[in-house]
Amino acid sequence: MNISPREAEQSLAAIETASQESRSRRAYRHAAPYIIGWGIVWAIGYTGSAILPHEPANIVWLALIIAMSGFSAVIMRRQSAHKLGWGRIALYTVVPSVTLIILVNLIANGFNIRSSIDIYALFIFIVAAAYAISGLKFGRRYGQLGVGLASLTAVGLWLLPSALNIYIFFIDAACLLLAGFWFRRA
Amino acid sequence: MADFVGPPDETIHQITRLKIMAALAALPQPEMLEFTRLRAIVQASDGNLATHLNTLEIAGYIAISKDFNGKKPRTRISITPTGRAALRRHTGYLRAILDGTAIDEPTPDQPASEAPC
Repeated sequence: MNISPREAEQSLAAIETASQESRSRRAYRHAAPYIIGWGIVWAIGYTGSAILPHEPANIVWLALIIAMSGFSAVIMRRQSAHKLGWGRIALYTVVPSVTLIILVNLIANGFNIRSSIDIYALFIFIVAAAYAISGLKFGRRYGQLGVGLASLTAVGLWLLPSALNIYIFFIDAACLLLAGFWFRRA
Repeated sequence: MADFVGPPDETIHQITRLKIMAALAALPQPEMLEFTRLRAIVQASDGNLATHLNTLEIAGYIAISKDFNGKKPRTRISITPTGRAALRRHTGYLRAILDGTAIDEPTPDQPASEAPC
């Protein structure tokens, strides 16, 4: 069996492409339950922020985030081939949430962002950026989700700033839910 | 690394089978890939994919499992340790060709003593 260098190069490229595609699709399938879960959290949380006073709305958010963190931990343990320890799972679920809160606070203070609407939008822009950056490593669908979320939020902030919570409930949460089902089919 | 080099594996070298093996080898050891998902990665028709899977299964490179997911029949495929090793050897051979260090197998009309070494 003779294989020319050109054929060898093409075969190695085919191996790399198929491996990358397989890894990306696996990452999409694993991310799907988290994305769907956060879509539900956003729908409930932003609706709460729209219709409830400040303090009860914050309590709703806290309860949702704790519930979602617990759900994430269970899913993460089920998905890991060599069962991850609970300590490491706690680290993986707590660190991103804490980092997000710190980032939102730092940017809001740094740019003197005070209105709750702007802070909600900032929160989503940071999440969208995280998805877009994840796209560089885990596959283009993350990038598309990040760009989609940021664009939809920018449109909402521009067209309906006074009703951004409701807008996020209908549009951004729906975007996350649809993306979650799209990821699950990968 | 030299342990992984050649000879070329004719079963794997066919491009669709090479993609199948690469897609399966990219998953952690116990994981299986559903037929429909593998088809999307390899971009082959149902019949074509089934034929290549059969060839790889006969060679002992993959394992095929058929069961039901609820009421829907499901076919899942995984790579065997033999298949993983074969892909590693073949990939090593392909790299060796590019490096100019590959050793060709003697062809039937070429005595082994004449094989380049």
